Amino acid sequence: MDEKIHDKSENSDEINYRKIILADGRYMIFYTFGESGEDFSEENAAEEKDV
Amino acid sequence: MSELRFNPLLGEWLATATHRQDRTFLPPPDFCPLCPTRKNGFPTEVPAETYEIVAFENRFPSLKTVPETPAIESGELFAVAPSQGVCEVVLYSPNHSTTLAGEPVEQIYKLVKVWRHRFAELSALDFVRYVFIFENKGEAVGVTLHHPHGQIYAYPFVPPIIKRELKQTQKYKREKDRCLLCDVLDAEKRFEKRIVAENDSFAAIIPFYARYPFETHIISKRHLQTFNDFSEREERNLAEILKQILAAFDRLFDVSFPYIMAIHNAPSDGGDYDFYHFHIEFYPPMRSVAKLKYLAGSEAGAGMFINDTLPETKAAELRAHIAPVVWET
Repeated sequence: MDEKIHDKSENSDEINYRKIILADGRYMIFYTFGESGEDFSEENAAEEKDV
Repeated sequence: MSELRFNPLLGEWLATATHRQDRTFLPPPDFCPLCPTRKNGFPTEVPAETYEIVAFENRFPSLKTVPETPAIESGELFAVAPSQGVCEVVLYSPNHSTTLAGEPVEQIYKLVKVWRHRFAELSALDFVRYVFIFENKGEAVGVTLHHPHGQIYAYPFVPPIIKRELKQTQKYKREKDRCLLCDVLDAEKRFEKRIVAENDSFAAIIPFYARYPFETHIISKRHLQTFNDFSEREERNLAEILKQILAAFDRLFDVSFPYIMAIHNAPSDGGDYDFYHFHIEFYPPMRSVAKLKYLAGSEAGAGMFINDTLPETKAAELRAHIAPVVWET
């Protein structure tokens, strides 16, 4: 799975995002904010579902 | 299969998207495709056990980054074009049962940040001329999935309603050397009766020219054109006034209030739109607790709306349900 991580976690109001490419070629962007941590597990990230 | 067809009578494009007939329609909560994929649960469209806010390409898009070749040949009278653009879904919360109105203001603030980011990213695509962020809420407006979400359409042209707004605001600027919506805000401030809520950065009004009983516009007090012009303070104040208006909508008849929310930014085609003014429009179809406003003959056939209520009266009703916003963090 193609994954790009953009972290700007210095400011708690800053936007962070992780972009993945799904099995059918569509992109999906997970947004997190500040120190809220990972928004999905590495395990799930590896299982690219055929959606 | 999707394609763009040009209507020569109205001078505007429309999309045909026959694959959208197969899209998921009002699934039971246990089979919601927009919920997180729980452990040992139904595999949804979102491969994560939870999330904060997610944006992704629509599985049944009307516009695609790499569109198909149209099935029909384009001609001089009946022009056809590939339906190039982007259709995104934005999930507001992992909680299936919530709505934007029910979310804490902090979550709405995060959503505003996501909107800004999506607007900037999509505006930068060379085939995009207009980025339209919107929400359809409630079965009364045709929603097919209840999970709280909005959408973003990045069009390869400036859509008709925005074109009309551009024409009107540019004309006003040329004639008066002032901004139309800046003058509307000044007039509403003096009149007072149609203001529903306001803060340092935004005013929410039921406009003088409201077409729906509770049509509400949120207008930036500063003369700005798009999300790209926002300050951090304006992000927070937009989240606050959205929370106030959406929660007030729900209190009106004590129901989860259906609406269409349309965010009107200036175009992203590189043009100079300093005469345009950022605002958000809500079109709620409810007239009363038991009645909906339908677009009938005059509206759908001739484009002339009949509003059987007075904006001043409805503004007072909505204003009575406005409550202060409390930030927990």
